[in-house]
Amino acid sequence: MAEAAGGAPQLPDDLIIWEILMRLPVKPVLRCRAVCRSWRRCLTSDAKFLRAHHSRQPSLPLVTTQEGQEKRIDAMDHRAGERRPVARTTATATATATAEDLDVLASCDGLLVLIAYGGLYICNPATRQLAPLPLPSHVSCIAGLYPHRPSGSYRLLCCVKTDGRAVYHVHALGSGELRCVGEPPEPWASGDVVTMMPMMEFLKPHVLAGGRLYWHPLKLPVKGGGKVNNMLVFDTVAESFRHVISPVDGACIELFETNDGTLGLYDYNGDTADLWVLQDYERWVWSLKHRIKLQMMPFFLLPDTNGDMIVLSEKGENTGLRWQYLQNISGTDGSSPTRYEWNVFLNLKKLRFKQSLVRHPFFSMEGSNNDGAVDEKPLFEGLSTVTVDLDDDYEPHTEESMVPKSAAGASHP
Amino acid sequence: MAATTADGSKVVGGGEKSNVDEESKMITLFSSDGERFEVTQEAAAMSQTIHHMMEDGCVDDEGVHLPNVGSSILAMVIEYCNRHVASPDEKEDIRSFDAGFVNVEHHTLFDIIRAANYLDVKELMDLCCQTVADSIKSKSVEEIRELFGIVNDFTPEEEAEIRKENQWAFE
Repeated sequence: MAEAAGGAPQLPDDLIIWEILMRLPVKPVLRCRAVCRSWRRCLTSDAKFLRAHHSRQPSLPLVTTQEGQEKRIDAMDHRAGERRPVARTTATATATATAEDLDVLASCDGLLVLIAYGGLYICNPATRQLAPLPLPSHVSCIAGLYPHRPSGSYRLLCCVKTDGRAVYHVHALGSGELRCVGEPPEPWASGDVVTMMPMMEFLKPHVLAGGRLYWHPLKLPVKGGGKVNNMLVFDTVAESFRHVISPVDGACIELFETNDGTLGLYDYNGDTADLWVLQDYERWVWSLKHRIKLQMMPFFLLPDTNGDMIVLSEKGENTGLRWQYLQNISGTDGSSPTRYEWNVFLNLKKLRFKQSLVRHPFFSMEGSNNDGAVDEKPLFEGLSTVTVDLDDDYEPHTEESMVPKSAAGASHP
Repeated sequence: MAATTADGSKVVGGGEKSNVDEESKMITLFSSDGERFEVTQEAAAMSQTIHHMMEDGCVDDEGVHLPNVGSSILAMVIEYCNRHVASPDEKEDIRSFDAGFVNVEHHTLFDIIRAANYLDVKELMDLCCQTVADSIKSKSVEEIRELFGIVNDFTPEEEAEIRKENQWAFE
């Protein structure tokens, strides 16, 4: 390497930082802060760089699992075939011999809301900033974590069950306040729905798209009898609710935010997946983009912003329910080059995580002792990446998987 | 190498029909050391810099002078562009071509990056910059300094402080 410096001029800092370092994962970027002063300045406090770096990170599905005495949250990287550690709890000396509960309730812009060590926390695993969330115990569930564009603050939408009714509140991180924003429209405000909300949120969490929070459709009764596939929406700027009818009637629906901030929907049934996109929010007009023919029948499907899908399918009749396959299916051509061995002890969440080195002031405001690592309750130390086994017998299908649209831009009233 | 020097000049001007044989319209590029390269307009248009010059009518009968790009590097860039416009759909072939293309010394890769940046060839920038990024992912701070020829301007105390801040990244 000695001849690298001789003769030819080196690359300018700007080029290195914005075109090369920008492409590095978090750990090497942190190392590069120690290279020289100009790099340190940019990689530590240039907000534009940190935001751009975050937007380039892959959006990876979160997985919870327990291994021995350790409970882990990992991010599944299907391209590298690895589970990358995000957080973990171990059995503490004073507690029982099992690991403390660990789960993730919300994920947004590299921030996670975690249940850990008996408490609720907001954290950024990449910067290792961590703070407890001072929410009162009568909050029955976290319904959303989102950036409030007009103010630049990050906020939590919480549901408080009051006399059997769902009343929503907003907590701006670092504000110390829980402000009431009212009830959703009936049929979301009372009855069984309210009791079910925490479980629903756990199984099919909220989706943030274009500044609005959407929840998965539920078959709810309408006036005049019958039930419709009803979707609840919360506008984070207007702080108001609306309920709408889902464009499709099936039970296997996955909502997601597309690359350009609109709401996407995959309707999968058996071995096909239809991609719908919300064209017009005000008039609630959707259009069917395409149908992908799948080579398997997934029982779990999690879309990415570009339309790709992580799916789980069962191995086969003689292997029972313990053994599963995980694969990524391209949203553009339906292809799936690799397939991984998976099992039922690896709990794939319907939440994705995208690392961010952006630092937030609310961590010190929320009342943590320091705004770095919290050593009394280790969450980020001693983690290691786990390789996920490839299915060596898998042969990718070569036939055309995309089915042309039969109706041109079918929209739904 | 795909680049060839012309034995006679081809005039690209307003008198020709613009829609017929669009791809075979040629353009002449001159490297910093005066060497001459004939490329199809389609391949040349992969460079946004040249593409804008063509659109704005800034390309005269002589061709385009590229004072910032030497002949050996320009030849490589042209080879890349020719390959990518020739069969853009054959993913496997392109992937293995790209892999072979970046299998060069780091200082050559840096030269290509500089050229691709100046010429604004996005795909080539992506390919080369990602290659460099991948190669430094697990390098130490010292190795990174050496690679880019950067002088350490921290005091030992300052450097120790930075390493301590994000200790886990240095393990």
